[in-house]
Amino acid sequence: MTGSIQFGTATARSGERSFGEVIVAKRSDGSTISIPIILVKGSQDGPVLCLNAGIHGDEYAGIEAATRLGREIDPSELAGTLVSVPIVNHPSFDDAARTGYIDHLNLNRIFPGAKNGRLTQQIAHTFLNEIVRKCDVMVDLHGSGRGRITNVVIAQGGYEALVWDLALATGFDLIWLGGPWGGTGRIAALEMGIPAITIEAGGELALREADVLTHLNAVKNVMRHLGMLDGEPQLAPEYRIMTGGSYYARRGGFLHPIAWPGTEVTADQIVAEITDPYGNVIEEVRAANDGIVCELQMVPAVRPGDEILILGEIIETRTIETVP
Amino acid sequence: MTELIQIGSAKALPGQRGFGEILIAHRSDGSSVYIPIILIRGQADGPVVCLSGGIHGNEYASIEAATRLARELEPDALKGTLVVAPIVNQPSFDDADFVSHFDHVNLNRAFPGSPTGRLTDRIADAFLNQVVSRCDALIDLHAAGFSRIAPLVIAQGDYLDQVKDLALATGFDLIWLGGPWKGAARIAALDAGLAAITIEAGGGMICDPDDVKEHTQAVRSVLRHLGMLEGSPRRAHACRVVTGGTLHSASGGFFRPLCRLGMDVVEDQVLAEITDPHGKLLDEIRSPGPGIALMIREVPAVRPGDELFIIGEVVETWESLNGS
Repeated sequence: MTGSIQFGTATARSGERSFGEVIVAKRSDGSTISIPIILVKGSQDGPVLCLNAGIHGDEYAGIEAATRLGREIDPSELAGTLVSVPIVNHPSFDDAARTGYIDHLNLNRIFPGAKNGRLTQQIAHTFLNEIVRKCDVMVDLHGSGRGRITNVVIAQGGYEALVWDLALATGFDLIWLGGPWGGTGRIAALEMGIPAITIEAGGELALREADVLTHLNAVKNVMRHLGMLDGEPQLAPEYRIMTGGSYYARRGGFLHPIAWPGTEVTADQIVAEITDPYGNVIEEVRAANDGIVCELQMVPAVRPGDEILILGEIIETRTIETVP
Repeated sequence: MTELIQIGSAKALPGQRGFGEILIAHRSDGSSVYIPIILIRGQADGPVVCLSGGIHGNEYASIEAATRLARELEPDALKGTLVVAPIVNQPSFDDADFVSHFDHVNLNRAFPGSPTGRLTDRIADAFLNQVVSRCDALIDLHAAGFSRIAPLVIAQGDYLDQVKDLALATGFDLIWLGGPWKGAARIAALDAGLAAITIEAGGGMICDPDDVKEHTQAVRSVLRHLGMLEGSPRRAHACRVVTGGTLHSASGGFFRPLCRLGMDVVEDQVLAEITDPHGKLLDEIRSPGPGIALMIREVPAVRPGDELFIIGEVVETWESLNGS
């Protein structure tokens, strides 16, 4: 494969880096809504990896990690092609929010999208068909926005055979089989037969260097596993497998986190408290089961029905020797 | 003075704590928009001081500090009365924003407000006329929302005779003479003849315990200065007095600060970079003069015109004879 490779307006030959975009739509003033691409074609042949972030525009650590790797990786040390898509959902980045104000749709619940649908559906359709479909592997970077999420990799339940090695290659010691929802970019890729994992780390509406490094280390580990970078991936000697879903607040109020993300808790343990304007505790958020605090809201303002907690249930602990 | 003190529906006799509210309006579903009030009335006579938080609903350290002091200060240990309004702008708290979706009016630019105006104007009017004007002094707690601000006290420049002692009693070594804008609660209180200061610390859309402590320690020190609590106030040996306004972004993009909060900066120093979706440099933010980085944006997503910094220019140094 010595010819050039093209994604949108980005074109690269072996050993080259190229910047470009895939145009999705135009606003009323003629400005474009596009998906930015940093394309890096290695000097040697190898897989084509889609490294995307910013499906939710307020998950900054992943956005920074994808941008940094796209700009800094040396094409002469790369086998295969890195397709870095740092901000898939630019309208939501612009709003510093999980969803964009144009239609308020959650991009990671509406895949495969629609060519002639609402803007967010058009973004999903364009991303899936003009980028993901042309790749061999997808690594989808996420984090928390208004909360903090512990370092976890999602290996979608039902697709274990396709993605388990990839998930282990992150080096994380916590694997989530995914929430009960559909419509994610990851699932759309899996349904096309493309191995796809989601890496989660960081949050608090801020950019913390430690979270960026967590993402970068995990991605480089996966790239070593795929033979795109030299060296062996560093694996966790023992890892936990979790299922889990969301907890929604009954009462609006001021949220006080008690058990930090990553903390293992027992059933009925208080994870957070919600107080009224006088400081009275009006809701105790308790763990429904023994498990791990996977994600917890950090912005104190809570409205009734806000998603404030993902509690993981550890269903198995394995050592690396017992990998199927 | 042994008769009942009543503010809104909150009532207290000497030695009592009272909880109540000031009703502002009813929403379409009949639920009320109100300002929560907590009265703490000492056994002994003394000044009546208003302690407010949450004029901007996303400044969580201020809200938590006011709420905590209202619950922790014992009437037996207090001389005079503390009137705590922990969340003046409850609609904006509900929206996790500095303004509310009702009218998008900045409450701290809307004073003195109007009893017949927009919802935020009505909150300003009710707070000023039913709460602040009943008091001898106002301590107004703030923080940054999407930014972080260094611990400092605002002593409004044109009213130094009225507030210098109060500002020094916070113990902070940074005194800001206030921005060029009008309509702050502090200014309305000063115009009504009260002593009024604003305490700033924290931000970043979270509630950091260290920021809360900055607030509570400063408030307790001011209450000692006023003779409401036992003991002597803390005072800095030397205070830097600063002027300064806000730096706004010319470009949208990803904000990357290059300086730290409270750091000295020199004229023309590059304070931050703004990059495009490919990580390319779009804009450099330079310091308009020598000064101190008083406030730095924390959320990476920036739109054209968003606030990035407050750079304080040191105009004076106040030495304290009894610094402690």
